[in-house]
Amino acid sequence: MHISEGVLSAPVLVGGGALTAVGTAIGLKKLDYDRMAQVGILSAAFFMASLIHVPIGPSSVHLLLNGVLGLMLGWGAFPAILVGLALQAVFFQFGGITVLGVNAFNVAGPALLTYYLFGRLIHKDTVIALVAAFACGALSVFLTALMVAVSLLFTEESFFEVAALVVTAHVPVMIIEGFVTAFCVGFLKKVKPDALPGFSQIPGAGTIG
Amino acid sequence: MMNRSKKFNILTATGVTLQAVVLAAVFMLAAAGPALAHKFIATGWVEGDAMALEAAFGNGDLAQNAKVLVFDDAGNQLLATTTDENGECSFKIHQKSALTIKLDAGMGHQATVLIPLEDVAAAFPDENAPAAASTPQPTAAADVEPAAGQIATGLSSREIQVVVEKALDKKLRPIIRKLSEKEHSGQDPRNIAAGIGYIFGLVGIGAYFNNRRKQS
Repeated sequence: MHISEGVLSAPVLVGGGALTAVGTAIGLKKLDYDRMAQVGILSAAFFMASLIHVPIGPSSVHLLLNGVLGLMLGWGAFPAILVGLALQAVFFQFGGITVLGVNAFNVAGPALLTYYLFGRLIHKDTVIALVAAFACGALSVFLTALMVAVSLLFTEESFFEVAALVVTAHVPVMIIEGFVTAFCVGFLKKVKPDALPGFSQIPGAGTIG
Repeated sequence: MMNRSKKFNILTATGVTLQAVVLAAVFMLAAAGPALAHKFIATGWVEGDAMALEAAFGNGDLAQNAKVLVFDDAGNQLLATTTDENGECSFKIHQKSALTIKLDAGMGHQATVLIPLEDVAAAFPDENAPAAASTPQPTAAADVEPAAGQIATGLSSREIQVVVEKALDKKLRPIIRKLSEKEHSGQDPRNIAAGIGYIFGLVGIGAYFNNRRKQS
Protein backbone atom coordinates (compact mmCIF):
# COMPACT_ATOMS: atom_id res chain seq x y z
CA MET A 1 0.00 0.00 0.00
CA HIS A 2 3.01 2.26 0.27
CA ILE A 3 3.99 3.70 -3.07
CA SER A 4 7.79 3.80 -3.34
CA GLU A 5 9.91 6.85 -3.85
CA GLY A 6 10.51 7.95 -7.43
CA VAL A 7 7.47 6.27 -8.99
CA LEU A 8 5.02 9.13 -9.14
CA SER A 9 5.18 12.25 -11.24
CA ALA A 10 5.60 15.67 -9.65
CA PRO A 11 1.98 16.89 -10.09
CA VAL A 12 0.68 13.79 -8.30
CA LEU A 13 3.18 14.27 -5.47
CA VAL A 14 2.33 17.95 -5.07
CA GLY A 15 -1.43 17.33 -5.31
CA GLY A 16 -1.32 14.55 -2.73
CA GLY A 17 0.85 16.66 -0.45
CA ALA A 18 -1.53 19.61 -0.65
CA LEU A 19 -4.61 17.49 0.06
CA THR A 20 -2.89 15.87 3.01
CA ALA A 21 -1.80 19.25 4.37
CA VAL A 22 -5.39 20.52 4.23
CA GLY A 23 -6.74 17.32 5.80
CA THR A 24 -4.16 17.44 8.57
CA ALA A 25 -4.86 21.11 9.30
CA ILE A 26 -8.59 20.43 9.60
CA GLY A 27 -7.85 17.30 11.62
CA LEU A 28 -5.68 19.16 14.10
CA LYS A 29 -8.31 21.88 14.40
CA LYS A 30 -11.15 19.44 14.99
CA LEU A 31 -9.17 17.16 17.27
CA ASP A 32 -10.53 16.81 20.77
CA TYR A 33 -7.35 17.41 22.73
CA ASP A 34 -8.79 15.72 25.80
CA ARG A 35 -8.62 12.55 23.74
CA MET A 36 -4.97 12.95 22.79
CA ALA A 37 -4.14 9.58 24.33
CA GLN A 38 -6.67 7.84 22.12
CA VAL A 39 -5.28 9.46 18.99
CA GLY A 40 -1.76 8.47 19.99
CA ILE A 41 -2.63 4.86 20.70
CA LEU A 42 -4.50 4.51 17.42
CA SER A 43 -1.61 6.11 15.60
CA ALA A 44 0.77 3.62 17.25
CA ALA A 45 -1.54 0.76 16.27
CA PHE A 46 -1.53 2.01 12.68
CA PHE A 47 2.26 2.26 12.75
CA MET A 48 2.53 -1.36 13.91
CA ALA A 49 -0.20 -2.74 11.65
CA SER A 50 1.97 -2.39 8.57
CA LEU A 51 4.30 -5.00 10.03
CA ILE A 52 1.52 -7.56 10.04
CA HIS A 53 1.86 -9.21 6.72
CA VAL A 54 -1.06 -11.08 5.19
CA PRO A 55 0.43 -14.17 3.55
CA ILE A 56 -2.64 -14.91 1.39
CA GLY A 57 -2.81 -14.01 -2.26
CA PRO A 58 -0.30 -13.24 -4.98
CA SER A 59 1.28 -10.06 -3.69
CA SER A 60 2.86 -8.65 -0.60
CA VAL A 61 0.21 -6.90 1.46
CA HIS A 62 -0.18 -5.89 5.06
CA LEU A 63 -2.84 -4.62 7.40
CA LEU A 64 -3.87 -0.97 7.28
CA LEU A 65 -6.41 -0.39 10.06
CA ASN A 66 -7.52 2.84 8.39
CA GLY A 67 -11.18 1.87 8.84
CA VAL A 68 -10.73 1.69 12.61
CA LEU A 69 -8.83 4.99 12.69
CA GLY A 70 -11.44 6.76 10.61
CA LEU A 71 -14.32 5.43 12.65
CA MET A 72 -12.72 6.37 15.96
CA LEU A 73 -11.15 9.68 15.05
CA GLY A 74 -12.99 11.20 12.08
CA TRP A 75 -10.89 14.09 10.79
CA GLY A 76 -8.35 13.28 13.49
CA ALA A 77 -7.40 10.25 11.37
CA PHE A 78 -5.42 12.58 9.09
CA PRO A 79 -2.77 13.66 11.62
CA ALA A 80 -2.70 10.18 13.20
CA ILE A 81 -2.10 8.47 9.85
CA LEU A 82 0.40 11.09 8.72
CA VAL A 83 2.49 10.56 11.84
CA GLY A 84 2.26 6.78 11.49
CA LEU A 85 3.30 6.86 7.83
CA ALA A 86 6.15 9.30 8.47
CA LEU A 87 7.57 6.99 11.13
CA GLN A 88 7.13 3.96 8.88
CA ALA A 89 9.03 5.76 6.15
CA VAL A 90 11.87 6.68 8.52
CA PHE A 91 12.16 3.45 10.47
CA PHE A 92 11.00 0.75 8.06
CA GLN A 93 11.74 2.44 4.72
CA PHE A 94 8.13 1.86 3.66
CA GLY A 95 7.12 4.41 1.07
CA GLY A 96 9.26 7.48 1.48
CA ILE A 97 9.31 11.09 2.56
CA THR A 98 8.52 12.63 -0.84
CA VAL A 99 5.54 10.31 -1.38
CA LEU A 100 4.32 10.82 2.17
CA GLY A 101 1.59 13.26 1.11
CA VAL A 102 0.16 10.95 -1.53
CA ASN A 103 0.35 7.87 0.69
CA ALA A 104 -1.23 9.69 3.63
CA PHE A 105 -4.09 10.94 1.48
CA ASN A 106 -4.62 7.50 -0.04
CA VAL A 107 -4.99 6.00 3.42
CA ALA A 108 -6.65 8.82 5.38
CA GLY A 109 -9.09 9.95 2.67
CA PRO A 110 -11.01 6.66 2.60
CA ALA A 111 -10.85 6.53 6.41
CA LEU A 112 -12.63 9.89 6.59
CA LEU A 113 -15.15 8.96 3.92
CA THR A 114 -16.16 5.74 5.68
CA TYR A 115 -16.45 7.70 8.92
CA TYR A 116 -19.05 9.91 7.31
CA LEU A 117 -20.79 6.93 5.72
CA PHE A 118 -20.91 4.61 8.74
CA GLY A 119 -20.05 6.74 11.77
CA ARG A 120 -23.66 7.26 12.80
CA LEU A 121 -24.67 3.63 12.26
CA ILE A 122 -22.34 2.25 14.92
CA HIS A 123 -24.59 3.70 17.61
CA LYS A 124 -27.58 1.65 16.45
CA ASP A 125 -28.32 -1.81 17.84
CA THR A 126 -25.62 -4.45 17.81
CA VAL A 127 -26.32 -6.20 14.51
CA ILE A 128 -26.51 -3.01 12.45
CA ALA A 129 -23.48 -1.60 14.24
CA LEU A 130 -21.38 -4.68 13.58
CA VAL A 131 -22.39 -4.87 9.93
CA ALA A 132 -21.61 -1.16 9.54
CA ALA A 133 -18.24 -1.60 11.24
CA PHE A 134 -17.37 -4.54 8.99
CA ALA A 135 -18.36 -2.56 5.92
CA CYS A 136 -16.35 0.40 7.17
CA GLY A 137 -13.18 -1.65 7.64
CA ALA A 138 -13.52 -3.46 4.32
CA LEU A 139 -14.57 -0.45 2.28
CA SER A 140 -11.78 1.78 3.52
CA VAL A 141 -9.18 -0.78 2.39
CA PHE A 142 -10.96 -1.15 -0.95
CA LEU A 143 -11.00 2.60 -1.49
CA THR A 144 -7.34 2.90 -0.52
CA ALA A 145 -6.46 0.23 -3.08
CA LEU A 146 -8.43 2.17 -5.66
CA MET A 147 -6.65 5.39 -4.70
CA VAL A 148 -3.29 3.69 -5.18
CA ALA A 149 -4.37 2.71 -8.69
CA VAL A 150 -5.48 6.29 -9.36
CA SER A 151 -2.13 7.62 -8.12
CA LEU A 152 -0.34 5.27 -10.47
CA LEU A 153 -2.58 6.34 -13.35
CA PHE A 154 0.09 8.64 -14.72
CA THR A 155 2.95 6.17 -14.53
CA GLU A 156 1.43 2.77 -15.31
CA GLU A 157 -0.08 2.15 -18.70
CA SER A 158 -3.48 0.75 -17.92
CA PHE A 159 -5.61 1.91 -15.03
CA PHE A 160 -8.06 -1.00 -14.96
CA GLU A 161 -5.33 -3.60 -15.00
CA VAL A 162 -3.52 -1.99 -12.09
CA ALA A 163 -6.74 -1.32 -10.19
CA ALA A 164 -7.84 -4.94 -10.59
CA LEU A 165 -4.42 -6.13 -9.45
CA VAL A 166 -4.27 -3.90 -6.38
CA VAL A 167 -7.85 -4.61 -5.37
CA THR A 168 -7.59 -8.40 -5.73
CA ALA A 169 -4.33 -8.39 -3.78
CA HIS A 170 -6.15 -6.65 -0.95
CA VAL A 171 -9.26 -8.83 -0.79
CA PRO A 172 -7.88 -10.86 2.15
CA VAL A 173 -6.93 -7.64 3.92
CA MET A 174 -10.42 -6.23 3.37
CA ILE A 175 -12.02 -9.27 4.99
CA ILE A 176 -9.58 -9.29 7.92
CA GLU A 177 -9.97 -5.56 8.49
CA GLY A 178 -13.74 -5.90 8.35
CA PHE A 179 -13.56 -8.37 11.21
CA VAL A 180 -11.03 -6.30 13.15
CA THR A 181 -13.21 -3.20 12.88
CA ALA A 182 -16.36 -5.12 13.83
CA PHE A 183 -14.50 -6.67 16.76
CA CYS A 184 -13.27 -3.29 18.01
CA VAL A 185 -16.67 -1.64 17.70
CA GLY A 186 -18.48 -4.59 19.29
CA PHE A 187 -16.03 -4.63 22.18
CA LEU A 188 -16.17 -0.89 22.78
CA LYS A 189 -19.96 -0.81 22.57
CA LYS A 190 -20.13 -3.36 25.33
CA VAL A 191 -17.32 -2.11 27.53
CA LYS A 192 -16.88 1.59 26.93
CA PRO A 193 -19.51 3.07 24.60
CA ASP A 194 -18.40 6.64 25.33
CA ALA A 195 -15.08 5.91 23.66
CA LEU A 196 -16.87 5.72 20.34
CA PRO A 197 -17.02 9.04 18.52
CA GLY A 198 -20.14 11.16 18.52
CA PHE A 199 -21.52 9.34 21.55
CA SER A 200 -22.48 12.53 23.38
CA GLN A 201 -24.52 13.72 20.38
CA ILE A 202 -26.92 10.79 20.63
CA PRO A 203 -30.09 11.85 22.48
CA GLY A 204 -30.40 10.15 25.84
CA ALA A 205 -26.93 8.70 25.60
CA GLY A 206 -26.01 9.82 29.10
CA THR A 207 -28.72 7.65 30.66
CA ILE A 208 -27.31 4.40 29.31
CA GLY A 209 -24.30 4.77 31.53
CA MET B 1 -10.10 20.38 40.83
CA MET B 2 -12.44 17.45 41.52
CA ASN B 3 -13.85 17.75 38.06
CA ARG B 4 -10.41 17.79 36.61
CA SER B 5 -9.19 14.60 38.25
CA LYS B 6 -12.39 12.83 37.28
CA LYS B 7 -11.87 13.80 33.71
CA PHE B 8 -8.34 12.53 33.86
CA ASN B 9 -9.59 9.18 35.15
CA ILE B 10 -11.97 8.84 32.25
CA LEU B 11 -9.23 9.72 29.86
CA THR B 12 -6.85 7.10 31.22
CA ALA B 13 -9.61 4.52 31.36
CA THR B 14 -10.40 5.15 27.69
CA GLY B 15 -6.75 4.85 26.86
CA VAL B 16 -6.32 1.60 28.73
CA THR B 17 -9.41 0.03 27.20
CA LEU B 18 -8.35 1.01 23.74
CA GLN B 19 -4.88 -0.25 24.35
CA ALA B 20 -6.31 -3.58 25.40
CA VAL B 21 -8.48 -3.75 22.27
CA VAL B 22 -5.66 -2.80 19.99
CA LEU B 23 -3.16 -5.15 21.61
CA ALA B 24 -5.66 -7.99 21.49
CA ALA B 25 -6.30 -7.35 17.81
CA VAL B 26 -2.61 -7.04 17.04
CA PHE B 27 -1.65 -10.23 18.84
CA MET B 28 -4.57 -12.12 17.40
CA LEU B 29 -3.41 -11.24 13.90
CA ALA B 30 0.27 -11.59 14.67
CA ALA B 31 -0.45 -15.16 15.68
CA ALA B 32 -2.31 -15.77 12.42
CA GLY B 33 0.57 -14.75 10.20
CA PRO B 34 4.21 -13.90 10.63
CA ALA B 35 4.76 -10.26 11.46
CA LEU B 36 6.74 -9.35 8.38
CA ALA B 37 7.01 -6.29 6.33
CA HIS B 38 6.17 -5.04 2.96
CA LYS B 39 9.01 -3.47 1.14
CA PHE B 40 10.70 -3.94 -2.17
CA ILE B 41 14.36 -4.88 -2.10
CA ALA B 42 16.64 -5.15 -5.09
CA THR B 43 20.26 -6.22 -4.99
CA GLY B 44 22.76 -6.25 -7.81
CA TRP B 45 26.31 -7.47 -8.08
CA VAL B 46 28.86 -8.25 -10.75
CA GLU B 47 29.34 -11.95 -11.39
CA GLY B 48 32.13 -12.71 -13.80
CA ASP B 49 31.40 -10.67 -16.90
CA ALA B 50 27.70 -10.45 -16.11
CA MET B 51 25.50 -8.46 -13.83
CA ALA B 52 23.32 -10.44 -11.43
CA LEU B 53 20.17 -9.00 -9.92
CA GLU B 54 17.80 -10.23 -7.32
CA ALA B 55 14.48 -8.69 -6.35
CA ALA B 56 12.35 -9.60 -3.38
CA PHE B 57 9.79 -8.13 -1.04
CA GLY B 58 10.66 -7.37 2.54
CA ASN B 59 8.98 -10.54 3.75
CA GLY B 60 11.20 -12.73 1.56
CA ASP B 61 8.66 -13.25 -1.23
CA LEU B 62 10.43 -13.20 -4.56
CA ALA B 63 9.45 -10.53 -7.00
CA GLN B 64 8.68 -12.49 -10.15
CA ASN B 65 8.31 -10.83 -13.53
CA ALA B 66 9.41 -7.48 -12.20
CA LYS B 67 10.37 -5.09 -14.95
CA VAL B 68 14.10 -4.38 -15.15
CA LEU B 69 15.46 -1.34 -16.94
CA VAL B 70 19.20 -0.77 -17.26
CA PHE B 71 20.67 2.66 -17.89
CA ASP B 72 24.27 3.78 -18.33
CA ASP B 73 25.74 6.85 -16.65
CA ALA B 74 24.60 9.07 -19.53
CA GLY B 75 21.00 7.99 -18.98
CA ASN B 76 20.73 5.87 -22.12
CA GLN B 77 18.61 2.79 -21.75
CA LEU B 78 20.75 -0.27 -22.46
CA LEU B 79 18.36 -3.06 -21.73
CA ALA B 80 14.80 -3.88 -20.73
CA THR B 81 14.02 -7.28 -19.30
CA THR B 82 12.13 -8.97 -16.48
CA THR B 83 13.06 -11.14 -13.51
CA ASP B 84 12.49 -14.89 -13.71
CA GLU B 85 10.43 -17.06 -11.36
CA ASN B 86 13.18 -16.88 -8.74
CA GLY B 87 13.09 -13.10 -8.76
CA GLU B 88 16.50 -13.11 -10.42
CA CYS B 89 17.86 -11.62 -13.58
CA SER B 90 21.28 -11.65 -15.17
CA PHE B 91 22.76 -9.96 -18.21
CA LYS B 92 26.16 -9.56 -19.83
CA ILE B 93 27.99 -6.29 -19.33
CA HIS B 94 29.20 -4.87 -22.64
CA GLN B 95 30.36 -1.41 -21.76
CA LYS B 96 32.48 0.02 -19.02
CA SER B 97 30.17 2.51 -17.39
CA ALA B 98 28.41 2.94 -14.10
CA LEU B 99 24.96 1.37 -14.30
CA THR B 100 21.63 2.47 -12.94
CA ILE B 101 19.16 -0.36 -12.75
CA LYS B 102 15.49 0.32 -12.11
CA LEU B 103 13.25 -2.48 -10.98
CA ASP B 104 9.49 -2.17 -10.97
CA ALA B 105 7.28 -4.86 -9.48
CA GLY B 106 4.05 -2.99 -10.17
CA MET B 107 1.61 -1.44 -7.70
CA GLY B 108 4.08 1.28 -6.90
CA HIS B 109 6.90 -1.03 -5.84
CA GLN B 110 10.03 0.37 -7.36
CA ALA B 111 13.67 0.16 -6.45
CA THR B 112 16.85 1.51 -7.99
CA VAL B 113 20.22 -0.18 -7.84
CA LEU B 114 23.34 1.81 -8.56
CA ILE B 115 26.42 -0.09 -9.68
CA PRO B 116 29.54 2.11 -9.46
CA LEU B 117 32.15 2.12 -12.23
CA GLU B 118 34.75 0.22 -10.20
CA ASP B 119 32.32 -2.68 -9.73
CA VAL B 120 31.54 -2.76 -13.44
CA ALA B 121 35.25 -2.61 -14.25
CA ALA B 122 35.67 -5.91 -12.40
CA ALA B 123 33.66 -7.56 -15.16
CA PHE B 124 36.44 -6.76 -17.63
CA PRO B 125 39.66 -8.74 -17.39
CA ASP B 126 42.68 -6.90 -16.15
CA GLU B 127 44.55 -5.26 -19.06
CA ASN B 128 47.91 -5.86 -17.43
CA ALA B 129 47.23 -9.56 -17.08
CA PRO B 130 48.28 -10.75 -20.59
CA ALA B 131 51.74 -9.22 -20.17
CA ALA B 132 52.27 -11.13 -16.97
CA ALA B 133 51.01 -14.33 -18.56
CA SER B 134 54.13 -14.82 -20.69
CA THR B 135 56.41 -15.13 -17.68
CA PRO B 136 55.57 -18.19 -15.63
CA GLN B 137 55.27 -17.20 -12.00
CA PRO B 138 56.15 -19.55 -9.18
CA THR B 139 53.14 -19.83 -6.92
CA ALA B 140 52.77 -21.16 -3.42
CA ALA B 141 50.55 -23.90 -4.76
CA ALA B 142 53.21 -24.93 -7.26
CA ASP B 143 55.79 -25.32 -4.51
CA VAL B 144 53.67 -27.59 -2.41
CA GLU B 145 52.04 -29.60 -5.16
CA PRO B 146 53.99 -29.86 -8.38
CA ALA B 147 51.06 -31.53 -10.17
CA ALA B 148 48.83 -28.54 -9.57
CA GLY B 149 51.64 -26.28 -10.69
CA GLN B 150 51.87 -28.20 -13.94
CA ILE B 151 48.22 -27.61 -14.69
CA ALA B 152 48.47 -23.96 -13.75
CA THR B 153 51.25 -23.30 -16.21
CA GLY B 154 49.04 -24.74 -18.95
CA LEU B 155 46.55 -21.94 -18.38
CA SER B 156 46.98 -18.33 -19.28
CA SER B 157 46.71 -15.93 -16.40
CA ARG B 158 43.55 -14.56 -17.94
CA GLU B 159 41.93 -17.94 -17.78
CA ILE B 160 43.01 -18.34 -14.20
CA GLN B 161 41.55 -14.98 -13.41
CA VAL B 162 38.21 -15.98 -14.91
CA VAL B 163 38.14 -19.28 -13.05
CA VAL B 164 39.06 -17.70 -9.74
CA GLU B 165 36.51 -14.97 -10.17
CA LYS B 166 33.82 -17.46 -10.99
CA ALA B 167 34.60 -19.50 -7.90
CA LEU B 168 34.76 -16.40 -5.73
CA ASP B 169 31.44 -15.13 -7.02
CA LYS B 170 29.87 -18.45 -6.25
CA LYS B 171 31.25 -18.51 -2.72
CA LEU B 172 30.50 -14.86 -2.04
CA ARG B 173 26.96 -14.94 -3.31
CA PRO B 174 25.33 -16.00 -0.04
CA ILE B 175 27.36 -13.38 1.81
CA ILE B 176 26.34 -10.64 -0.57
CA ARG B 177 22.75 -11.69 -0.20
CA LYS B 178 22.97 -11.72 3.57
CA LEU B 179 24.60 -8.31 3.66
CA SER B 180 21.93 -6.85 1.46
CA GLU B 181 19.21 -8.36 3.60
CA LYS B 182 20.78 -6.87 6.67
CA GLU B 183 21.15 -3.49 5.02
CA HIS B 184 17.50 -3.44 4.07
CA SER B 185 15.86 -5.00 7.10
CA GLY B 186 13.96 -2.36 8.97
CA GLN B 187 11.91 -4.48 11.33
CA ASP B 188 14.36 -4.17 14.13
CA PRO B 189 12.51 -4.23 17.47
CA ARG B 190 14.46 -1.09 18.31
CA ASN B 191 12.89 0.69 15.34
CA ILE B 192 9.43 -0.38 16.40
CA ALA B 193 9.99 0.80 19.95
CA ALA B 194 11.45 4.07 18.67
CA GLY B 195 8.44 4.73 16.45
CA ILE B 196 6.00 4.11 19.25
CA GLY B 197 8.11 6.26 21.52
CA TYR B 198 7.87 9.14 19.04
CA ILE B 199 4.09 8.82 18.91
CA PHE B 200 3.81 8.85 22.69
CA GLY B 201 6.13 11.82 22.79
CA LEU B 202 3.87 13.71 20.38
CA VAL B 203 0.88 12.82 22.53
CA GLY B 204 2.75 14.19 25.52
CA ILE B 205 3.45 17.47 23.70
CA GLY B 206 -0.20 17.74 22.67
CA ALA B 207 -1.39 17.02 26.19
CA TYR B 208 1.05 19.55 27.62
CA PHE B 209 -0.14 22.38 25.38
CA ASN B 210 -3.75 21.41 25.94
CA ASN B 211 -3.15 21.60 29.66
CA ARG B 212 -1.48 25.00 29.42
CA ARG B 213 -4.27 26.36 27.29
CA LYS B 214 -6.83 25.19 29.81
CA GLN B 215 -4.95 26.69 32.72
CA SER B 216 -4.63 30.12 31.20
